[in-house]
Amino acid sequence: MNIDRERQELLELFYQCPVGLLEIDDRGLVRKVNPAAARMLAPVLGSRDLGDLFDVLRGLAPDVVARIEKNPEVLGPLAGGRRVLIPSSRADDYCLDLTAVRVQPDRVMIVLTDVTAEHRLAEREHRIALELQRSMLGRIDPIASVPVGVAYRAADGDQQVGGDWYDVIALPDDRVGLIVGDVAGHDLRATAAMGQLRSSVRAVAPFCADPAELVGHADRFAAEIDGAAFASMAYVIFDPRDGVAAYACAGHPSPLVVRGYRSADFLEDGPGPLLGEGTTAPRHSARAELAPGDALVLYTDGLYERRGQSADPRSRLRDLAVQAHHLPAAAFADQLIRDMLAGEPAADEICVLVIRREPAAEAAVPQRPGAAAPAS
Amino acid sequence: MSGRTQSLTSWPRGIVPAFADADLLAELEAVTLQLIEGLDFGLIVMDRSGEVIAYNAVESRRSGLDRHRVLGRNFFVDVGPCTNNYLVAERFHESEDLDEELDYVFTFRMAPTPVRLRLMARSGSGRQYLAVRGR
Repeated sequence: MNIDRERQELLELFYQCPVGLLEIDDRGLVRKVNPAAARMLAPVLGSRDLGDLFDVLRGLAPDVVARIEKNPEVLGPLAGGRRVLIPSSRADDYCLDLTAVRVQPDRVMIVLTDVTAEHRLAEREHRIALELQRSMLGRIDPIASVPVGVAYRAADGDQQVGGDWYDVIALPDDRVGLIVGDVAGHDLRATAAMGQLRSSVRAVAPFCADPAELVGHADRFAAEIDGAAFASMAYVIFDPRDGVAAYACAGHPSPLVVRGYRSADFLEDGPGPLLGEGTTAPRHSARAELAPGDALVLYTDGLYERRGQSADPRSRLRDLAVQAHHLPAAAFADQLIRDMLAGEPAADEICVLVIRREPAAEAAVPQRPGAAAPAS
Repeated sequence: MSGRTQSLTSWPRGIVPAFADADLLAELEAVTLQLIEGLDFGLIVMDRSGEVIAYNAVESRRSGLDRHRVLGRNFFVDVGPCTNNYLVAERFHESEDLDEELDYVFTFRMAPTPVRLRLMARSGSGRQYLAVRGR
């Protein structure tokens, strides 16, 4: 009698358990299932009978099926914390947390926990973070005389917000301020620091005739703003009338001048330490000249940080930039990111800013179609 | 029961209705609950809050649950928690008038048991019905 009662109580526990439980064999055939599991999986069953769990899971989590099938000798955990989205005919999908444990040979326990609420909250937070980051990412002042293009690519994977930024600022005397920068970190804190640093730098840019002066201000801002220390940036003041680009860098990859189809050169004479490092050494500017038709490329280091790449990334960047040179500025920036990634996922976020010195109107050289088309 | 002036003590057409009969809901609404014992499919009758008010023998045999353990309990919470989702429980909750069928899987004695369900309710009535047939 006592054993019967104990058995009955165990059954009731199993039956009322709010966590979904299934016992399957190594081929996925369901031996036991509790109501919570049936309730959670019901939306994807249709007219199927839940006799074969693999048949159900193959469409939802094929990796889990593979792990169970391919490791019949492994006892213990086979999958844990695997999030499974259950598509629903209603507005929102459901999200389950799936764990698989082989408790004995040919006996696998599947545990399902409904984490829909948590998942929705995380999704909402993520959406907000993305919106915030995109809204602070950068601004392009309308500048008729200089074609400008920007491309941004978020990192693939979980780190979809970050601290990259750009700015194109209309300066006195028709000059143009160009900034690409990178606050360290891949979270909302980095984004918030970036937003503050970017605004501060933009606000003082019109008062700095020399790039080194602006970078000096940025040093102090970065030291003041939480999370902005050790940011990097490149600043260029471009004068479209004579093609002179004055520049200064703070721990940032050197801008690249693409000179037609012939060559491309990194601007390496204005380097300096990262922002907010507490250095008291003065910043230095350097100058370069863009010939009519030349392009200038500013970018963050994500552009050449590919997973598992060992070849000289700077040479590659130079070669690919020369190849893409004929494109209008915005297409140029896009193409450069695509070519550098070459189909690989982006390990880090990438920001690329391209301007071009318009070919002189009176120049006799025949112009390639579209070569100087404005970016937008 | 509210809304009913008189319950018939025999089926209106003189024959016992079947699971798929078009008029099943109307016939169930017309008769006294004792008659559901004669049905050849499982039937759970609840009030509009989901509390079980009748549970026929066919369903009791299929589920292995004695009727006295089921009556007075909330079906979606205590008796058939596998139906406590938008496919079944919420359909009853959100529809005054309801008559639809769907395939489902019950978990009788922990084994997956494919069934065909028919969800029925009529506005103004104090009852709602869940008919169950094997498939």
